[in-house]
Amino acid sequence: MANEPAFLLSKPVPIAKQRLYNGRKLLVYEGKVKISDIKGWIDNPRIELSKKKLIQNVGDRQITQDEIMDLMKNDPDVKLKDLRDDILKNGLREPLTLSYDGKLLDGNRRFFAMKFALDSMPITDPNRQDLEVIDAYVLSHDATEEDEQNVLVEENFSASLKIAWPEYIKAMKVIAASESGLNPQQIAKKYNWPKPKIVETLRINELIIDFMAFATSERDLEDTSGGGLGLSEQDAETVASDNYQFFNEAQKSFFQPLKNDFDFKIQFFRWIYEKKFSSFHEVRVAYAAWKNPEAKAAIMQPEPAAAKAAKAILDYNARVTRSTDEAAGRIETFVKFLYDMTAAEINLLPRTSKENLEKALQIIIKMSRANSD
Amino acid sequence: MYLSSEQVSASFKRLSSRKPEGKTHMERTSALMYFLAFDAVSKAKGSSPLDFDPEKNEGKNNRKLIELEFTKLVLLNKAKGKIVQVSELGKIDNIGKDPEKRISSNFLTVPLKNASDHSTPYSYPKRPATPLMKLGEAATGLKWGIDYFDKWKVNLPILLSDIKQSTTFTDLAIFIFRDTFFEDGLQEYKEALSSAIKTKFTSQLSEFWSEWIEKEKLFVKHIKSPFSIEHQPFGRNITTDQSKYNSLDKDVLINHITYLEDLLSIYHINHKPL
Repeated sequence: MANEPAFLLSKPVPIAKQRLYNGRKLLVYEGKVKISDIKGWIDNPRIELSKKKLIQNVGDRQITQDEIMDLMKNDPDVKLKDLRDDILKNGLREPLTLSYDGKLLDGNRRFFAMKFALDSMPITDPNRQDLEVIDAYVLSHDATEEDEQNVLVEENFSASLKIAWPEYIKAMKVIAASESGLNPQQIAKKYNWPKPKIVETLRINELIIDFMAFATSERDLEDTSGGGLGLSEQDAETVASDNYQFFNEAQKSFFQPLKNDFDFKIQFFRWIYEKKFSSFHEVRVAYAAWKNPEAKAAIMQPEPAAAKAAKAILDYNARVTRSTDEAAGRIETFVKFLYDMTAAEINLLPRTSKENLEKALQIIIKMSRANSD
Repeated sequence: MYLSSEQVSASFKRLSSRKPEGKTHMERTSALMYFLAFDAVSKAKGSSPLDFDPEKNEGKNNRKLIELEFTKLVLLNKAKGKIVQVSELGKIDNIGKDPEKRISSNFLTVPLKNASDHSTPYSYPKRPATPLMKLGEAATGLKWGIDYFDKWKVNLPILLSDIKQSTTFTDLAIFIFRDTFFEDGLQEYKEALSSAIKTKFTSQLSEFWSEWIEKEKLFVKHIKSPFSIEHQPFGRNITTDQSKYNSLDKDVLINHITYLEDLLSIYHINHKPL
């Protein structure tokens, strides 16, 4: 086969076959490749955030393969050690996929896990040879850039047992496609995602852009808003990435209030930064808590369980049990709560709270008297 | 000093809708501009409701005034019979009808005429259900009257919520005051915009608008040096009908671009080749 790439070992003889990537049949060579002939993918989006941090520390220069390996080893989401141990025990379960010129299109994590495994083995270990040559699929000379893109989509956007790219990283690819002028339908086709998911991703990005702008604004304690969070771009992006699913929940539950109620938006972003939420359920009720004075007071507390407490208040209020017994019980509890208050505590209450209490009691008295007359 | 054309252009683009297809953004832009024009006339007259009765002198004058204000808001250039205007925020077009005719037929004739015949309160816009104005006798006490809808302050941000970026009121002010001269002493964009808003619009709208600009400041990253000594009119140079290129073959377009770039080079005109 004259068109085989030079780095593909001649023994065993590579086999030309067709494989399906993202709905497209591509001609590939299946064979063996020396691991030393492969270069890891430095621009892998999976480690983009860690890489940005590294560049911040070392300056804007070409990152080495060893540095990339260190980044992957130290990123808990990559789980490189787990994969290394699995490879040592079971070998490489799935071949890597390379472009015709040797670029690693799929299997970056496996590749670095193999290198990691080799690094941890003594040079005299006879098992090293099992890891030094690996199985690979190599795209043919005729493969286009679009074909390479299809391999990336198939291997990183499709659901499988592998660790797909983090949602935030996938979202950034979708945003880049949108900014290049593609509409949601075209992006859906490109990444083989349903159109509603693309639309959802674009909406999450709107929130993240706002969060980034707010988070990177200077703190200003003299301003009534308190200013922004004063974070660097990298730190703000890390917070955004870590909370990507919470932004998704916010987008689903209260996108419009976030667009129209700036005070709430700023507070929600602060809550995200303060790690106020520990579950999607707590995020889901954030706007309702903001609009409910009792729940708002609870969620504004600095305790770690503040959002949980606010949710409990909302859940309790939402229960439609309006029996006479329950109403009497609630009044009794409330009256006891009032009697337990000290003069100093009452004095600290905001004037509006006292006025509202007085108003409510007067209405109850009037209604009660009118009924008994 | 003036707002620089780069700043106006950047802010204007940020006013695009997240839903580029369909007519929704165009309809919302129209409703917004009618409202702003109505407010500017209210400011000039010092009161509301305003009477737009086509049979009375006052009504005729008010019609002329609102048409004029609307035109000032949306018209970018009118030369040699060619109109360059904004029908939809974020986009410039040169194929629509004269702004005066737009407001006359799309607002003063149809909705206001309908309202004048209604015995129940009539509000505008109806779609989406975020009225900014109330029209007609039942709502304003005048058969051809226009007044503020009670909840316009709640509805205005909702009407504009299809705009993707979150500094809508800041960017809108920059676009509206694209040709305004600012005193040299005003260095800060918020101060300059608030002052301009106060001059053109009623106190209730200007207070509301300035409060939003103040709130949006934490999300403003695109305003670095917004002013320019010289006035660089925004959108005035766009007089080419781009739609005619849509049907042309790639080869024809390549030939045409080559011809134009050669022409620029021959006459030593600085340009940015593709």
